[in-house]
Amino acid sequence: MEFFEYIFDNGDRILFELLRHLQIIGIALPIAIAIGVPVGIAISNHKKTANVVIYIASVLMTIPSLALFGFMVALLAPFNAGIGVPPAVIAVVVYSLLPLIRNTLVAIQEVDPATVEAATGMGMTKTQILFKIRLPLAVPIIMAGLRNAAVMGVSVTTIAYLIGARGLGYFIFSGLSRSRLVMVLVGAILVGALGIGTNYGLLKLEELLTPRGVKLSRSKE
Amino acid sequence: MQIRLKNLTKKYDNGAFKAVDNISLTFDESKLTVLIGPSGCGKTTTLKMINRLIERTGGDILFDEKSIDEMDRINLRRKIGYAIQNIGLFIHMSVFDNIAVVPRLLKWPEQKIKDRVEELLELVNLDPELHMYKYPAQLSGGQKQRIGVARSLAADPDVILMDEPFGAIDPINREKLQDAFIEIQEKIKKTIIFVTHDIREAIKLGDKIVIMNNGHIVQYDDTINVVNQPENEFVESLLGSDRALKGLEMLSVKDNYIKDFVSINAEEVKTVGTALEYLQKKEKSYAYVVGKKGILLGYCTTKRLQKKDKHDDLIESVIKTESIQPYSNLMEAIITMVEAGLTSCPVVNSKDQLLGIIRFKTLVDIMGSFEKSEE
Amino acid sequence: MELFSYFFENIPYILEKTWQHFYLFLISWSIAVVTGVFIGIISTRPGKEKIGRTVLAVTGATQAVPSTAVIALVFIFMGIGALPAMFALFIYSLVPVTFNTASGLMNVSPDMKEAAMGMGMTKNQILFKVELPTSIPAIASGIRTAAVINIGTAAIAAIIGAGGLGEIIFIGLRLMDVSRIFAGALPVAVLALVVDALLALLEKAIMSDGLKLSKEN
Repeated sequence: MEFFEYIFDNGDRILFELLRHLQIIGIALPIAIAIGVPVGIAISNHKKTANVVIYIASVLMTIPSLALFGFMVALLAPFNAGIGVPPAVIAVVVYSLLPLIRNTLVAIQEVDPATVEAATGMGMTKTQILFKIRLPLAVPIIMAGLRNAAVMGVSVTTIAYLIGARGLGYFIFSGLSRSRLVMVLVGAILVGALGIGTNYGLLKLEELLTPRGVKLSRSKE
Repeated sequence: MQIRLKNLTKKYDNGAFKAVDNISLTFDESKLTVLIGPSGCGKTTTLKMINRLIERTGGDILFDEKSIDEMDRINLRRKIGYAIQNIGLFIHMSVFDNIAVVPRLLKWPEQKIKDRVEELLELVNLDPELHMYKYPAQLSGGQKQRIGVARSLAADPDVILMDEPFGAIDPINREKLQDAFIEIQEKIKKTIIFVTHDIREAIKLGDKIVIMNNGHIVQYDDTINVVNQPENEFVESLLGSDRALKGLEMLSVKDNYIKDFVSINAEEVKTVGTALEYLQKKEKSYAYVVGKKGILLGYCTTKRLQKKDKHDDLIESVIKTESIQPYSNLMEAIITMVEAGLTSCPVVNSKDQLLGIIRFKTLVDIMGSFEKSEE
Repeated sequence: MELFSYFFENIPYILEKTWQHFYLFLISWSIAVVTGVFIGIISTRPGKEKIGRTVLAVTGATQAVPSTAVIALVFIFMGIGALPAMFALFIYSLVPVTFNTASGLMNVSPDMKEAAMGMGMTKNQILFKVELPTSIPAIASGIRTAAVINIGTAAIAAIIGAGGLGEIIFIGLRLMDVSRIFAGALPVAVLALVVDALLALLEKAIMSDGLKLSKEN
């Protein structure tokens, strides 16, 4: 009962932190897409560069988020940017790069060479092949990468509370330091639901954006 | 080993659907029997009841008159070779380990296993040295099928079950595999039960054919009798309209080629001049040319040789030719010869050694005799 | 080099916290690996396909739950200290191991299983000679993911009194002591990278050449 009481009493607060949470992810993901997808396309023709880029991105993603925030606070402090929304956005972008670059790369590479040959034979230019053939076929896989990135973003942003970016982490961390169980519970449920909801919603979007032909040929396999 | 099916039945959905309905028949020892019919006719279900991958719901299966219920299911399977359409090679194991699976389950000593694997690879025409330690990912489709067959023979089982083992292969390689397989069966003489939906394959491979439809046996007879005396319209439709041509598929090159041919051994006859002399002596206008160990290189004609200098190398004047293997059927021979425009075609074994020739006229005569029987 | 000052002045303390961190990780992760592989196996035995799919659906969805939520929930039920922290780490590591084991086993080609059965392998032989060896890439990647997120989550678990390197970072954050934050963050990152690299080597060593080749194709 206390649980619902807390929610009713703090509706504004919950809304505010939720919006802040979404704001951070909402700024970070488009930036990540704007970097990750072109990089993925650019390296798809250079196997060596691709290996290096993927390696760097996976090293970055292996760094625990709390440590990454630590580095950012330390490194950005001289510029007065160590705390608040900017480092949170940067962290989400950093973690989103690997899934986005990797999935774009795989998606572009996996397009059947015969399809590309057919398109070339019809007189399409390389750019036309990229935009009319490769990318539409790659959309589902890139979307899966975006979903990964978004789910990670929800998680990372929770911790970003610690560096003053606010967001839903407020309920958990603030609740923990005040030992207010109900606040912690509300935070955990909100954050958990947001993670699961983001995953589910983007999964549905992924299905929606998959070209019908691709879906049909997949279900045949 | 002889296998007898007695009132064998498989019902699904509490008897609402009978996949196999009360069939009885005997698979002869050392023969290859083909089960054929449209999809859903019960052929695969019948096959899988024999190694108990599917449990029957009625009747019995007897191995040399002993019911399979008296045998342990796992031991039974280890004594039966099994090859399937999608092969199912174990991708994490080398070719050697794949073939060695059943012998190891049966706890054979390692040296015996090694000898056996080498023997089997030779049998399926793959160089053991080259292929033994490769992994499935490094093999072509045809090679994988061969390993699949070798694996099913590994523990020298008396009975082999094959479920469309060549189904996933392109037509040209399929014919080669079938030829190789007939050659293998000539040597090993196992009791083989072979499921296919390809009537040409059935006629080519089967000593006997079981035609199934809706879980019943429509006809069970020697292949030649099935082709010549189809039981009813269903069998006729399955055989198709060109029965005279199908008849050719039953007969193999090995029973119809002749050894009466002229050949020159390029190891002994090196120059154009000597070759011409030889041809003139034999009063022939052409001869086949063979190399080391009698391997066919091609043929040469007097016409062509006369245009060359006497001292030229014979090898350079040799014209390449199509050839055919003894276990190919006459239908394949006709196609090869028509496509290459040959009136006679050299017959070579799997090592490309020249065995004889087959004449187009022979094939036309045989086809004529089939057409008469059809009327 | 003010950034490194705290680090160099407190090496014994940092080593102690690193060891504590590693200990939290090792215990909770090892138990999670054993439990996860076990659940993955029993939920995918022949005839239990429905349970397998349920396990996949549940673990698939819970992978989207942020680690902080798990720590928070465990705190509510178990309070603070190293034990609740380890339990949270265990639960959080369990998910990827179970998910990858179950999905790896469910994706073993049915042809291989049919061939194995037809050759007379017992159910256990099929599991140990065919299903598990061919699922190694999936299982190993689940185990690696679990290790990396475990080490990262262990840092956050300092908030419920787990100790470890997270403690240094949290104190640093509270005091806005940049050098202290850095002294905690650096070893956490190194620990995660080293463990991941070691597991990658191990994975390479135990994976058969045949699997590597078929993965390339």
